[in-house]
Amino acid sequence: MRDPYEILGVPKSASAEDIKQSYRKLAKKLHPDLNPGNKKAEQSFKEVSAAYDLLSDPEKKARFDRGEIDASGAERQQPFYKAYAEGDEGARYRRFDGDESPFADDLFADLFRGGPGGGRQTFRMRGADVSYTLEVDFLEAANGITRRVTLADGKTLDVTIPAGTEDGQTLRLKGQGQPGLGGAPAGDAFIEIHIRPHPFFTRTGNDIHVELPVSLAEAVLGGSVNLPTIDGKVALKIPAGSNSGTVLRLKGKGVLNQATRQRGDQLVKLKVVLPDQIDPELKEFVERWSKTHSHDPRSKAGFS
Amino acid sequence: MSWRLTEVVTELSIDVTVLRGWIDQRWIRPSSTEGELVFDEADMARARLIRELKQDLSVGDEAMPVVLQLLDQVYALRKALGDLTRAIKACPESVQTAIAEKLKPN
Repeated sequence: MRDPYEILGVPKSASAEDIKQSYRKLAKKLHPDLNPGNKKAEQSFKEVSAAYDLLSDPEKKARFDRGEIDASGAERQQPFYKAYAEGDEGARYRRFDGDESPFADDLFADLFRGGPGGGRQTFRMRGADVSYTLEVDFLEAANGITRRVTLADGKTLDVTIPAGTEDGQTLRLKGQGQPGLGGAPAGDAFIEIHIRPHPFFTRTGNDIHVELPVSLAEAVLGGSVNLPTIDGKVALKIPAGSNSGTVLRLKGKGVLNQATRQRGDQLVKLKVVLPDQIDPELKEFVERWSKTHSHDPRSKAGFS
Repeated sequence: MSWRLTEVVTELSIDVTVLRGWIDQRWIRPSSTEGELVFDEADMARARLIRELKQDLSVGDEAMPVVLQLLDQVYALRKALGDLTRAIKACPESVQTAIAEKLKPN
């Protein structure tokens, strides 16, 4: 048995207050219930406790100082709390606040919630669904994109908008709604997609429509022009003798159909555009030409 | 083994109003049978711990709920970890090795 003064780290001349202070300092560090699983701490704490028992009792201290008794005190017989804390007896104290679990959000989460043996009944309720709207650009919806959105509770979420998403379509994100109670699943997040219009593309189903201005020369003589599509530019051949209103079809240049996984077409409607200023040369040519050619586009259209 | 309120008070040498205060604050939650509080071994040991935290470690009343809450969480974690460890030990050796491998620090 070690010397109790040495165990508490105080000189023999220490006052009762010094002894108490020293004991408290050691006890805070070594108390077995604050150090579960640490056998050394428990052993040291027992020594410290026994030393303090002896030195905090003026009568025992005096007798020890006079050498009438030795340092062996009665060792603590009462069990520490930690003896029960992890067993069935401690179950009702052993809980997490709310529905925290050491294994959040995975398949173990339910296993460790509450105490063992079903001692604690938990209230289970599926979390509420939440709804959001998300505005995306025309091309983002046509080609698909992943957008990071911040939800009302500050949580961020990567939302994958699949290619071919339609205006007003609602995406369902399973389990991204309000959290469930008592281990029940979370609700879902519903995200309604709104598509911003594009300056020149429009969409009907899976087909893309675009009106393409062409010059008089391109319409009469034909030629190759650069045409934007939803996934980049392509060269489009204008046949000679094309007219305003002629529709050219580009197969497979439309939007992906989510059901059939086939892409629609791009429909290009030509619009013949005269120069802003009609120069004298053109005017003179048309005057000359019209004298010898009669052309009434209205009769063909049914105007009389 | 179980104790009644008066026995706990005597055993721990504390005042009965003190013990009632601990119960009111739900630091200790004994069960009750026919209107009488019954303290089991865990309740008794917990009451002793609270007394030690107060008297020997001078944990104040303000700090006590924080300390107890953290302790309860530590024990819940230790229990969960213990259960998990036992579950892993009951798995085939290949699974145990795989888990040990995953737990290795990089």
